[in-house]
Amino acid sequence: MSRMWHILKREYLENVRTKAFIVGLILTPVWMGLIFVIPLLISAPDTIRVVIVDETGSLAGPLTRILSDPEVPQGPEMPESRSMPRAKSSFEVVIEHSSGPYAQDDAGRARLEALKREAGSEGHYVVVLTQAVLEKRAAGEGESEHGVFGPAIRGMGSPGRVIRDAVTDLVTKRLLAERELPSDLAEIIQKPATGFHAIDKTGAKSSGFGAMLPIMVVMLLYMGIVGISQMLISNTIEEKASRVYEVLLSSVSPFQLMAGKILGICGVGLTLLGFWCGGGLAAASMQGSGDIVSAAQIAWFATYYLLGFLMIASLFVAVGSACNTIKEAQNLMAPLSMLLALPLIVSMLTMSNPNGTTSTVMSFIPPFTPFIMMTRLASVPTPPTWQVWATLLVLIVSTYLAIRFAARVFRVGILLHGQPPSLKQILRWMFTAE
Amino acid sequence: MTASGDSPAVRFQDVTKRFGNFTAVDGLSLAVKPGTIFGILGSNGAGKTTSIRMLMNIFTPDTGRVEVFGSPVTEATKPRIGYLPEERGLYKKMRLGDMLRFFGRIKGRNDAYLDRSIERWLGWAGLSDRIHDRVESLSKGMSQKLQFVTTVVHGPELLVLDEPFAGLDPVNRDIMRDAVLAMHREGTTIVFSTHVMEQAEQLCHELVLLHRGTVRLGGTLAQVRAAEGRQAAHIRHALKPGATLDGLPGVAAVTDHGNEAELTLEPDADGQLLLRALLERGEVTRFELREPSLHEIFKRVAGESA
Repeated sequence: MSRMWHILKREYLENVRTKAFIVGLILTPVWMGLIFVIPLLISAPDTIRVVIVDETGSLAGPLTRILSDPEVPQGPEMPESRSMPRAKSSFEVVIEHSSGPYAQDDAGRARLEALKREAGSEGHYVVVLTQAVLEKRAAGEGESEHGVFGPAIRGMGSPGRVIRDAVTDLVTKRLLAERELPSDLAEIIQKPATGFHAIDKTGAKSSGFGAMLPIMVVMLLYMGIVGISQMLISNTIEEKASRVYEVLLSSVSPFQLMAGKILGICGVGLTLLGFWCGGGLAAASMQGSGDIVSAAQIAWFATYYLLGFLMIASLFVAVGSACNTIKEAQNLMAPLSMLLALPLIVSMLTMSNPNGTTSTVMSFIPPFTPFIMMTRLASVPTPPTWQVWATLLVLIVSTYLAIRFAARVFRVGILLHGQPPSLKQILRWMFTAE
Repeated sequence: MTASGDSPAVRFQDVTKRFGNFTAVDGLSLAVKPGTIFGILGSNGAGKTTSIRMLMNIFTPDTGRVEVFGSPVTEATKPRIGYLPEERGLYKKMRLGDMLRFFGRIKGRNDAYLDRSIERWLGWAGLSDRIHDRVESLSKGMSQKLQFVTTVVHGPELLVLDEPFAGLDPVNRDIMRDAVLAMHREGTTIVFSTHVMEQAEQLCHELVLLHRGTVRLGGTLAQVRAAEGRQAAHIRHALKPGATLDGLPGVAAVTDHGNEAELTLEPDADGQLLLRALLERGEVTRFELREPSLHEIFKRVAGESA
């Protein structure tokens, strides 16, 4: 036991002391943050050109004023987006033609087509306001005669929607005024009568952060398990190439060596995840959402990390031990890697229906269990208790088997140099007891 | 704890190891007396490394029994042994001191012991001032010495060396040999394998000669030579142009090294007749009749089974 402890300790310290580890520790959260922030920053250009073609002769002016106001409402506020940085756009308005029937003669129609073409290629917007707008007739987006034309930028703050909402607001107020109705009727009509409140399983209001929880948890679990296990492959091959294994085998058994390596690297992963999760929780509690994860969820996360890591790392270390170069390992790993990308995709799908048939079935397939079950445990509604324990049992048994098979491959593989073994040979080692 | 009494430091009893259809070691039996230097000889593929790996519990024999210090070899035996495998390696990114301490700790030694031992052995290797340097910064010769230090840093009672002199230049070969002899004088039992017969002749007290997994010869050097039952003429010569060493009277086999040659004689050969025949073919500056070298014995054994 103490011999394995020394292997574990060496493996841990030698990996934690590297510059690459420290850089990864700090840069990964920064990088993750950038993944969320960059699309928001680049989703909308700073200044958006809007060409207004106004047949009514009375809408272009007020619309220009609304769009030129820096406080122009940019889509409805959503709880999820409250803590997110949002790109604000300012509009540069050009009034193309303020009055007269535009789409009624050939020259006018051709001019309109040219404007749309230009908007499409230059990425700006053309707002065509006909008399029909004032009658709130056929205001559907598919209507080609009038409406807002421009590039498809999706999202809450998409300029197309902002312009459309501004026109709607303007026209509604105008129509109310014409009918001598109070202008605040517009707000009464347009505002939803009730809000939607996401709640957690205690019935308390779920913060926006809570909706993000399953995806964040799975990403962390995936990076911790698959990312760190990959470290084990390259490290195993490197040491095999340096021929240090036989020297070690004069002091420890192959199993002690393998277990020490896996647990040492597991510790490296725990350090990373501890640092990131701790940082994440600290950030969440500073935002007043410190209670979004329960102690039970943290315990489950640790359990799934440990079991998932032991299972997948065992497979990786077995492959690494059988190969002489990273390239050989990549060839052997190709099918395994594709398989391992699946749980990430399935977890995403699981989020919309955590207790659906697909999610339930996938929860029982060992390599996917940690990811799918963690998603389900971080979602609402949580899975039935019997499934939690049954999948855990499946996971424990399969992890045990993975370690046993890996140990058989490892003890043969690490001493084998020269031609790499075929998958068939590796399978034979797996089922041959020493 | 040292090996006591007459029980052998190492004993193989009818040990066989197969890999698939290939029998690497076939019915190997040997016993190594405590405190001696024992050689396992043979050409490449003779079964030397497989035997040594069974001694180290890296391979398990299919049949038979391997004992070290009187008990079956297990993981618990490993701390008493120092092992230098044929395929050697070090942790290149580690610092010398840290790496040696690591290798000593996995053998169960405490830091106080290791501090003294590391100081002693790094002094021997001339690397005392590099204790904080990374292993990768060492030259090839220094790495080879450091590799030996990792083998002995925990103070083994039994030293197992697989082809210890392979790849060493003459200076380092001598340094390695002196270290092995120093360990021997301190009472360490030494088992080493080699395919270079001259080294075995210089170092071994006893030996076995393996060929295709089986023992062909065994015993002390004198016993092995006596068992051969014939003599050899070791000569230094300068033959006349066109003359060869072929067809000499009473000569069974010739190994010509150029300036020197070893002529294995027939059992009833006449040395004087041979000398006269040689002088007819050129100058002879040395002529010595004695036991054949291990090299010649080995060639005969290998040739017979071929």
